[in-house]
Amino acid sequence: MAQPGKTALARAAMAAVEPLVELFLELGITSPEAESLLRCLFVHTARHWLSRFGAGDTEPSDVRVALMTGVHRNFVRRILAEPPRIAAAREQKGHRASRLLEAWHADPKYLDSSGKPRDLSEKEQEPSFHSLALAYVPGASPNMVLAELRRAGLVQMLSEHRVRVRNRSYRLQGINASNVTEMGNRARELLETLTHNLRRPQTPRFCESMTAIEVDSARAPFVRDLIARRAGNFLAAIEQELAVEASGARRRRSPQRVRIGLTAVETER
Amino acid sequence: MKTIDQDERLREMLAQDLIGVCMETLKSHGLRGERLAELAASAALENSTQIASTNAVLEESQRLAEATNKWVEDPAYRDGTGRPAVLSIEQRRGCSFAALAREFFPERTVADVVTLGCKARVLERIGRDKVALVNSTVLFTGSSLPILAYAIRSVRRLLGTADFNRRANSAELENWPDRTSYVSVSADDFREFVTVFRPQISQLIESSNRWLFQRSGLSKNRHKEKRIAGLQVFIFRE
Repeated sequence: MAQPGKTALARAAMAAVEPLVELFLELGITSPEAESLLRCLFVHTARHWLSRFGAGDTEPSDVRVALMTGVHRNFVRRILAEPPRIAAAREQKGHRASRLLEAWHADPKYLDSSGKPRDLSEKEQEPSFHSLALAYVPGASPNMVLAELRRAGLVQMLSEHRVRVRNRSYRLQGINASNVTEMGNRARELLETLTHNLRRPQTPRFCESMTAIEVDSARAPFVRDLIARRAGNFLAAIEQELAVEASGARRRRSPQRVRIGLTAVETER
Repeated sequence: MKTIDQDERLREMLAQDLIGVCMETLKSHGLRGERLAELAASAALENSTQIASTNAVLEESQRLAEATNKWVEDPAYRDGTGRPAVLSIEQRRGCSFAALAREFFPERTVADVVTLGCKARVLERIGRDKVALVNSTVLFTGSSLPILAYAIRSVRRLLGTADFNRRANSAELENWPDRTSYVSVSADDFREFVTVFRPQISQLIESSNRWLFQRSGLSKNRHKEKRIAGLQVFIFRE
């Protein structure tokens, strides 16, 4: 039987948790991911709390932490083995809209004759965004899915209630932890290649660029779109070609491994 | 002397192979063997390299492709994102679908051209009075006669390139590129192959089309004699 004060306490805690939930929403952290993170934090904090305030000088046992947190002792052991993080199983589920984005890039019904995702009518004309949302995010209103994708910057609204997809995976745009980490990684990769080429010109890594062109700013959107489609296509092709090489290398696993990649970057001044 | 006879015989056997391949294809389109033999005999007596009937069948789709080309390539027909704009059907002034229809189908009504474009899956209607480009390629899928005519024109172009290359000096890069890749693969791998290479092929064609379109429109080339030139790519499975 629940203690009567617990409900009131939980209600009071909501006021403290709400801003955190808003932050999670902004960062694209789903409820299962947040729950997984909270459970880890609960277990780690309980051990720390028991160490400080519990009886005796020894570290609290997993059983004791389990008793206090309500998490099974097997999970407690697993959770305490590493720093608090979102469990991989929860993380892999990703955002529900990811399925829709993937389908928009793969389901023949939503592709043009070149195999690229079509611009879709919101609902007037089939194939529409509504039919796509109903098929791949069942149980959610297509209008809400569209609003969420717009908020995340993953679709672009065009004239005549048409929608264009901007990304294949669910990833929030703007300044957030994940994007800043990626920015750092990209900058590091580029600097490593440039530094390598300065130090070892006899074994350079590929680093080429075309001569920049000057265009009327009114034509810039066309050039940007052209670069995005050509470069995206080229990267997809080389990824497919190298996948064969990578699968062969997995079979002949040697201790010395190298991560090789290619990044294409548009520049504009 | 013996070598010349052998070459002659081999050439005849190759000719028989080519005729056989063409005959089998034509039979699959519903033509009977006896009638094909009569048509082949009549064609053998003629000395024409023209394919007037083929051109007539493809004329409509050719004009639709040219209209699409202008929609894709002419900056005036692009929207703020750089892609082909949604066009008003009947707008009298400026860039509209009516303007394209009048330029490429002067003898037809705009409504007819919209129907034709929708049927060829090049465009789709947006509400009552607008159209959007959905494919920059005219699709014949499911239509036997245009597909046959398209195949005939492709064969003619391929043989034209082969004819040029047999006279060219390969050591001096005078020949026109004609490359093939082929390996035996499973049906599953073939499906994946199509998925992977469809965008690559489309981009290559789009890129070459843009180059040709822009070069053809340069003022310095306007009055020069011109002949159709291009690039054709297709996936095959034997």
